[in-house]
Amino acid sequence: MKTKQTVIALLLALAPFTQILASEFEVSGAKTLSPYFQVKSGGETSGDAMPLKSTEVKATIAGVIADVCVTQTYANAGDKPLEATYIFPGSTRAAVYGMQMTIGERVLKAQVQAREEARRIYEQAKTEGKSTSLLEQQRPNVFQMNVANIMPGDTVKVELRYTELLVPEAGEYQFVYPTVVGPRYSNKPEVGAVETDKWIANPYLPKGAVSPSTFHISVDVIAGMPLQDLRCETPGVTPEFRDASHAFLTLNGSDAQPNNKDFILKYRLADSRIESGLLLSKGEQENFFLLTVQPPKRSTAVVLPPRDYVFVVDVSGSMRGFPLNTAKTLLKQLLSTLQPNDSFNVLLFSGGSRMLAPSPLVASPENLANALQMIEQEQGGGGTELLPALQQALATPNERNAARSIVVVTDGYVGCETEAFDLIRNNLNRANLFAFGIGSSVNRFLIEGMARSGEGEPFIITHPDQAEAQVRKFREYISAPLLAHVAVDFNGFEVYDVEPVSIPDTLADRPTVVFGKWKGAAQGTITLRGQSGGGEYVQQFPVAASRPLEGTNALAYLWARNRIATLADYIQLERSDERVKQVTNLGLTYNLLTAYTSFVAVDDVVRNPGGKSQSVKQPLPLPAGVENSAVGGGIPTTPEPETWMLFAVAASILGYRSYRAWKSRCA
Amino acid sequence: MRLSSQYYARAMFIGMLLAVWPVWHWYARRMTDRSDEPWGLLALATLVVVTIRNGVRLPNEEKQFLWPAVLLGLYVLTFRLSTSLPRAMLAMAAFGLLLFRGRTMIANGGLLALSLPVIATAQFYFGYPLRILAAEVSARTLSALHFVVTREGSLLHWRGETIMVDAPCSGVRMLWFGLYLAATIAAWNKLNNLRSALLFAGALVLVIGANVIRATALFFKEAQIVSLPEWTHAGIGVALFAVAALLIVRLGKAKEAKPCCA
Repeated sequence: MKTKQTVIALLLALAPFTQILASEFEVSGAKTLSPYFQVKSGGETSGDAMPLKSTEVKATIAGVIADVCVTQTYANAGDKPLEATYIFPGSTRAAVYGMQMTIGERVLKAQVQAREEARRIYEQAKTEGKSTSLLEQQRPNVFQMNVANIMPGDTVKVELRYTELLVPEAGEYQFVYPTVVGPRYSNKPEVGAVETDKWIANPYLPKGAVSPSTFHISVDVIAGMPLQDLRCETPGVTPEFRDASHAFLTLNGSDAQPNNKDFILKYRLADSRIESGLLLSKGEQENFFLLTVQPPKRSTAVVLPPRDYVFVVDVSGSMRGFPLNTAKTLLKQLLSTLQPNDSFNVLLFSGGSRMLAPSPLVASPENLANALQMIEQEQGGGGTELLPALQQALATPNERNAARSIVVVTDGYVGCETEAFDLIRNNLNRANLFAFGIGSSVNRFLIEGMARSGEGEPFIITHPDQAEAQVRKFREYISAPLLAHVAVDFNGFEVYDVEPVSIPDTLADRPTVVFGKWKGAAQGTITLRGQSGGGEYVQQFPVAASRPLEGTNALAYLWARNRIATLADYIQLERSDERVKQVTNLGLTYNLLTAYTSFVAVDDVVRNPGGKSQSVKQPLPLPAGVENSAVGGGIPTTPEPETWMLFAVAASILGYRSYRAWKSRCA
Repeated sequence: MRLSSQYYARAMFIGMLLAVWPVWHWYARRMTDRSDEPWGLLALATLVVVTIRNGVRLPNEEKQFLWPAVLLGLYVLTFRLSTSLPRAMLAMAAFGLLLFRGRTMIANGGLLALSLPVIATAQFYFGYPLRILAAEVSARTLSALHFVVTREGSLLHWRGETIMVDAPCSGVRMLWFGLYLAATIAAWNKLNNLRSALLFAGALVLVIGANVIRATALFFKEAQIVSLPEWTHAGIGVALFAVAALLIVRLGKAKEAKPCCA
């Protein structure tokens, strides 16, 4: 009877669980866009999984303008026709103005087309079996190259050209060539994702795996003035001085993997001068000018008003290891500079967010120690939900009504850049925003965009040693603007389409840059006025004394690029077909790659009848210092112990039981 | 001259062994082709040891073949329609009924069943339900401890973090070893059929419970709520399995308080 009761009790105990199990055969949740690790498939695949064989970069810096030629070489070592897709980064200020494709002896110049039209031409050529290439912009600093119908044994070279304006900060010029796009976190579902987001689902090589694609860069610096303090953060770079104002740099091959970190070249001109003044160029139909005005000296504020800071720190999986250690060093530096009358809070975010306190804390030693302890415990893991973190930071009560600054510390590996910019712009009345980008291949589009949207400044830190200097700059910038209420007058010089329309206050020690078009005679005066810490600041430039810029369309490209960036900001605020059309027209008129115009090149020879080919996404190396946890698939799991461990436990228990039984029999 | 019933029965037994040769062929292949973990050989070896120790009664009467014959008939009729594992189960059931007839049939039959390569199949059919169970109970337990955890399939979400109770987390291997332990104790101690069935049921509940507790405990480590070295992941699982195993042994001992006659 007792046994039957036990049986019934067991059945009753199990019954609720059967209900749970019965209701559980619906698979819910859509798959999200996510980067993933390249898996080497064994067996009979005969395609070439890594068609990009090399990238060669040749940059020429003449004065303040860099002209860069990037040559990507694709080859097919397999025995099936290929379509290769390669995601690569560019400078956030790059104006991509040309592309050509070389197959064997044939050189085909690419045409710029509206984005949809370019894609249509590419797809049609691909289906028809013609070799074709398509360059699209997915972000201002992320580009996608598609090359179709690469036949077995083929070598296809695609060359693209861009120009960029180098704007010095505190007298230091910096040329950055980013080499790899870091893995981006996205919670957007794969199904229904927009075209400009699908690239996020790209394969990566695991940490430590060397990419078989080689990388070489050479930079020719022709400053026009003697160079000083020329240095490169990338190991294995050897500068060669042709004369005092001309240096040539190239990689010497000592770095085994130069293509997983930004190439950063820094230099100053003699006496820390900067190239300033007026550049004019005359075209067949339009003339352009570029005005660069040296900023005033920064004056030291006597009394610093109290401020409120919210430090928003990324502790996601991609920050694990070196980036998070750098962020910890940075935060210690930032906290150590707070004044006793400042208030602060710390928000750590990954998949979720957690704050040090529900409202701002006074910057007392005890509160600062608690903040440091909070960040020290972090190891880095999970997703990167930046938007909820920013929302929470903006919503934190500001009881003292002190001027608030939000300081974001992140590597920027997210796919929601434009949403972040919108959020920041819509809340400018609550706080301004400064962004610190951490890592060897930071998403500069996000960092610069957040700072621009928040009327703050961006800072990039690639090594913990840089933290102290960057924090010092941050303190200077935040104490007072360098130049405020800036206005430019053109007397006797007929100008139009001037960029920017209104010049924002300058926080950083950076020149004011004004682009525009001009007509008529090159005469008159340009006057810049503003308010600095030392009073009114006035600089005058006689147009007749300007330097002509000949033999290049650089100013046209740079002006158009600037106008496109301004329109893109407006499109983010409120999308309008008119503004999209303006960007498209600018891209088509000035032959530029934009979000709405792409380059496409087609070889008219049909080399792959039927057009069937294997599509391959070029796997990318993980940026230096980034752990495998940055790539989707790093979701923590709870696997059971290995079977040999379970066997050991069972065998031990049975063995011990047998021993006890044998002992009791012997006893 | 008519053979005695005993010899006739023995001859039929050998005939049955030969008749199901496809099962032996498949078994040998499965144990060596790495498609499954070959722990079935451990159960088979244990069964052989127990049989030698306890003795086995080979069939000696024709009427003992009735139900085995029915099972073999099913084996033949469904041969073309079924796959290798169900066929093997029918054959093993027939031999189990024949060799271990009587009050210890369930105990020895349990070892016989576990000697088949069932881990991969169990993972396929029962893995997901077990994961859901572990995830659901973990989510409820954690919520009761004021961690706002939601379950989506076999994923646990907390503060935007996601912990996955994926295939290797189902506890199927723990379950196999728990049942193996129960079957060995039952067969060794010659527990009767009812007590053996209760011991198996108890082992099932204990091991599934241990796996659920394991998933809940590991949530704290994987969500980085507590910082623990990597070895604790396996350590927690082994410790909980050891507790479940000791309880199974204890349960087997309780059952053995009234030793039965074979």
